[in-house]
Amino acid sequence: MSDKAGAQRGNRPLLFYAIGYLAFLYIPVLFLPLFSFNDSIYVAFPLSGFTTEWYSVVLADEPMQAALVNSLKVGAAVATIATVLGIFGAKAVTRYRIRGQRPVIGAIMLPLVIPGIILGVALLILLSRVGVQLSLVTVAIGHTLICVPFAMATLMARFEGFDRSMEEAAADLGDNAWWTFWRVTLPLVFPGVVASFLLCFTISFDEFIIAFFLAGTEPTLPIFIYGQLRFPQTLPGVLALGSLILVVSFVVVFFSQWLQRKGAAGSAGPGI
Amino acid sequence: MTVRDPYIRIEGLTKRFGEVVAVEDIDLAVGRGEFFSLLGASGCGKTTLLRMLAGFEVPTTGEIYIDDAPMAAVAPHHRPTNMVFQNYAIFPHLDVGQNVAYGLRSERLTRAEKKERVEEALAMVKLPGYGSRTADALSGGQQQRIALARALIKRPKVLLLDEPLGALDKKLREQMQLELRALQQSLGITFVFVTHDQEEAMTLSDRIAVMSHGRVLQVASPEDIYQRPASIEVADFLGQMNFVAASVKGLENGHAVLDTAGLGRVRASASAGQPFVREGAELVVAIRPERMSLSPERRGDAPNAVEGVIRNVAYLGDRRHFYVAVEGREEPFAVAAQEAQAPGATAFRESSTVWLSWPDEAVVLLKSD
Repeated sequence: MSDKAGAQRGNRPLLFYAIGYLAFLYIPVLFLPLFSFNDSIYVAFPLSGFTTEWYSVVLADEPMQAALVNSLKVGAAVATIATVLGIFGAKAVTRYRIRGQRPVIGAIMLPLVIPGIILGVALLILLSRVGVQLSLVTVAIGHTLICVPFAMATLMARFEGFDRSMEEAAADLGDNAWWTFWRVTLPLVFPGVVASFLLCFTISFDEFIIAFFLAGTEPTLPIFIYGQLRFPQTLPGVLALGSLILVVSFVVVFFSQWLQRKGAAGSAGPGI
Repeated sequence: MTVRDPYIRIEGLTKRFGEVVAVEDIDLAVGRGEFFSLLGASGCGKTTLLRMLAGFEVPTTGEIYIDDAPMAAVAPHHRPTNMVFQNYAIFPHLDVGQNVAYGLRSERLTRAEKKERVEEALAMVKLPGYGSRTADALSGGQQQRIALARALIKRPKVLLLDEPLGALDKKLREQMQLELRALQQSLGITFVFVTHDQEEAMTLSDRIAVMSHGRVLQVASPEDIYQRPASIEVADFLGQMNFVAASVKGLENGHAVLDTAGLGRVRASASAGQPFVREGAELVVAIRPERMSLSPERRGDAPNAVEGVIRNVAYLGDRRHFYVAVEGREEPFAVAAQEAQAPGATAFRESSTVWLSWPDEAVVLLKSD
């Protein structure tokens, strides 16, 4: 009894801390949609009136849309490539005894701790030496490099989480390595595949530094937005776009969480 | 003991994991349609041996033949074996029917044929109509049956079972033992069954291979293994056993006469013909507790008898265990008496003086270590 009361007393400061923390985290974000409906080009209180004008500006802004499409293309390509590489890599390091396994994993994870600016400069030098034209492809190459560690980490957890005898059972029942992978391994790690894809997509979508170095004439969305900050009159449009992205992100995160939980519950995964 | 028509032949099989020798130079022959058990404590190499039969582990040296075909170059998915895994390894993303039908992919059957085979397999394990259930809605016993159906649907020549009943509670386990035995007899498939439970091995098997530290200690029928263990280790592993150090005094018309510390002069009829039983040899006398009996006075007809004092009595419902201390020996002898057969046994109390007696043929002679 007294323990419980003590715990409740102890919770009060913790509660304030939690509320303060969440406020710090999300109130700035919530200004985005708030000012995106404000009838003024100046982002300042007091609010002058309600408008959806900025949204129609966004929908009519062709360079902005082009940048958005560029980012979506790069993000989808990067997420796909990094996740596929992650699947193979994670399977290899969790399923087979490989000589020098720890150094190999370390080398794959290294881009996590290398500053983006160094990676960006290094890649820029390398690519220009080799004579590769800067384009969305070079951005995707840079992003794949930083996304593979995230894909690996996500997928390794999933591969380690399921029982090896599942794969042995499949082999025992007449499936070769390919069929075993297709009918048992992939369905069982599928929630991890989705999580990895979404994570990589998100990382690529809002990555700035590497894209800044490696993009050619076609900007990705973060680069485009950064360029727009010089012109105050375009700022509300950026806010409207940001709000839209926020909503989409929420939906995507909610969906991936739901899928993960469904996977963890056991009856997991879509039948393939 | 040799098998006339060996279906599985294991020759000089050794498996090393780095420095560790899991299986060491094993030769075995398993007959067609035999229920064969690998019995041993955990870490004795029995599961490694089973996994080599399935093809999941590659032997370091030696060869396995199934139906006279060498298995070394045969991948697991091409072997005529199927396995029931210790944890069942039911695929969580498939329903019961899809689990059972899993192995039919390579057989190119029509939908109707597949359905028929699945129903047949489910009926075999007494779960007819379970096909549409989800895998996570199954109890442990049901999962075990599904794993069995999934393996049997392939109509294997050899079914490998890795402690399949270990996770079930006692009642269910005993019921499954009977069903497994009946199923094996009706299908005529060769079963290789891994277990650490000696009672289970004795109940189910035609023959048992007792394993320890990667080696096979003895291969024989349950009765032979229990009544005529080949070594102290085997005798000790299966059930309870009284061991007494002894020396051979003489051999006379098929009997060995021995001097023991605690049981006095002992006559042994069984195993007296073995080569290590020579005059003057130091060896070990072993007698099962249930082969010894108690009486208040020395029985006139008993060839072997010794006086002692009851130290402890343990009541086990169907039988009673007495621990009888004898002069010249620290450790008391264990005596087991069936309640139904020895109603007078209740008269024996702690610290009462009794006579221990046993027949000649109950005495097993074993090489001392």
